[in-house]
Amino acid sequence: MSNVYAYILLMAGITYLIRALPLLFIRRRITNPFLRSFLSYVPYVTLSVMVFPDVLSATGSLASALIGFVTMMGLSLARKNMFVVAIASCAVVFVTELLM
Amino acid sequence: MTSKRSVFLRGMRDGLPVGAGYLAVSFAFGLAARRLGFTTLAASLMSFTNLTSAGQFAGAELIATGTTVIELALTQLVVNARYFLMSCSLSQRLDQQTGFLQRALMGWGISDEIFALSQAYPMPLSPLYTYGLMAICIPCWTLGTLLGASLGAVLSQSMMNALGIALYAMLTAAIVPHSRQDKTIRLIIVVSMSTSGLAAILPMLRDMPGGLRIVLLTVVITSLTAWRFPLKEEQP
Repeated sequence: MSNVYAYILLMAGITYLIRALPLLFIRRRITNPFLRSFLSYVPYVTLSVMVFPDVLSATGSLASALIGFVTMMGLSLARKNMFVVAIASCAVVFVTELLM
Repeated sequence: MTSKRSVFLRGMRDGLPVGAGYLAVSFAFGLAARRLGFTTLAASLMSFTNLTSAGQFAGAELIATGTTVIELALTQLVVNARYFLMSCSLSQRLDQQTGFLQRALMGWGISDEIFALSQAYPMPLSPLYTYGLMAICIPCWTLGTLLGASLGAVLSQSMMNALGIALYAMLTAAIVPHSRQDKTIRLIIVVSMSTSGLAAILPMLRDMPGGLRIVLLTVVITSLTAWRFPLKEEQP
């Protein structure tokens, strides 16, 4: 643990470069239809892949996580705002774990 | 023309729920970092400069158990590689005239949630909106770490469990509503979640580091969709 601050800055530097380089160097509007479609679909794919199945191990039990997942999907489909979706999902998980 | 001030304030307002979720998750990180032997200052500095969850948990564990510069660097590269794709995607939403310094500052703030909200902003994305998000989210992420590392276990386990689901709920709320009008997006979300669920149980894929699996699945699924369902010309 001696160089802990050096290690922290190394982590920060690498993470920063990953995030900043494309923003800094892709300055033109991409016109290639495939690439344009690719970049516009990236958010949906990558965020979906991150949510599922990891969400199932985000709480204390599979059952409470499943109920939380169903809640967040249902409320999102009903176009509730992010805050409502988050609070409701947390509340449902909390209550489920109390009852179990 | 909306004023610069109101765009920034809108970012701050939209950032509030994310900030609240960040407080909870970074509290857990602070607690974990403290148990691994980090000082409160080191843990908070890591949060302030890194602004990642998985990357920090992985990095803190490596540092605590002894690592090399190469191993730490490669782990961060793999765990955080998805940000590269997010940044490419955001580059297309900015006004082309956006300057170097603005882009450099935005780069610090591309977390999963800030990305999710920024890409949902009408085109062209104003950096001020992202700054508004960062102005709430970065202090919350840092403060939560500081509190978790210094106060320790004041939250009960059941409260921590409930809060653990908050960030997933936010990511869901950022993408799923768009599937109501757009059939392609609906298909993408269903296919992505099912494939990802399968990948977590299939041999080979299952044993891959999580960050790498996310990138691999993203590239494959997005390529297939972009090839099969290219955007219509008039869409941004």
